[in-house]
Amino acid sequence: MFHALANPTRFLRLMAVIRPWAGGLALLGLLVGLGWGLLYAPPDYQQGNTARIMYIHVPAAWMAMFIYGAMAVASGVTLIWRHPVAELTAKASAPIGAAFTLICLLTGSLWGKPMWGTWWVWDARLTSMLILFFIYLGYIALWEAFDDPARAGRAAAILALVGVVNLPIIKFSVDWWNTLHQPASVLTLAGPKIHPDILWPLLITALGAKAYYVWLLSLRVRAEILSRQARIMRFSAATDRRAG
Amino acid sequence: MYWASLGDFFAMGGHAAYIWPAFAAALAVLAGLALYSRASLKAAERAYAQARQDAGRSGDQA
Repeated sequence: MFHALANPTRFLRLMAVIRPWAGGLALLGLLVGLGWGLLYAPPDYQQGNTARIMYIHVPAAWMAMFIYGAMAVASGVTLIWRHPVAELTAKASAPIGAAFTLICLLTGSLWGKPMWGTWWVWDARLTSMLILFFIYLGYIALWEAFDDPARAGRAAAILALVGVVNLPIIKFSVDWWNTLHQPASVLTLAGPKIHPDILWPLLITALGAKAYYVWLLSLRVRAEILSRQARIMRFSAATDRRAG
Repeated sequence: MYWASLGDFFAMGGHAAYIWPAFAAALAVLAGLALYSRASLKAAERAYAQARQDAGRSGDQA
């Protein structure tokens, strides 16, 4: 399976099968989850209706970290096995992860203003999330910084692996430091601490967000593979002409 | 349904100014990236088809 996926053509064929299902599930999950959160879920007893921002903020934060984790695994596979599809999967993931991080930061700011009285504070959770956003941007920029895709890919993969250290810092920042941000209430050792009426729309939205990632990733990886193959064909055509 | 009326829903208990921009921003970012990615896929498909055609032509000459 693992080696079969290293064949770009086979990978593209598998992605073409998955794509419409992922797209449909994304649309359905986001519509149902967010619709439920906005229309039917009860307001928070302390934060009132602003807590509805959570239905985007929290899945966006989960995706920001999940995609980074996926990118780091793909980068490890790239460096160890020279797996070409893994490399392009990591590259295609970065803008999606950056987009979710941006959504998390924007919605957090819009939630912070009415509840904390400020758009932004330099505390551990917010700052480590901002650093994640910058690592994503740095990764994307690094790919563009080299003419040779082999060197760019290696440098970007190393950056992605080094940046992993930020993930536990984000997750545990609310426990390690004093912060305005509330502690974990879903992913805790004791299980979720929130009511099912709020948890369900949250989980459905999160599922929709994950399907959106799979859908968009399959589309972006296809673009990356085709671009790379076009580049190789142009390159070998040019060397043929020179040789002939 | 939690809301008594449509106006109630849009007012979001007085917090409309924060809740709706948050949802709009998320939609804009997700839809924007999807549209941009689709456009770059179309460009990549064109570049691939062109490169294939060129390779075929130079192959004929050889």
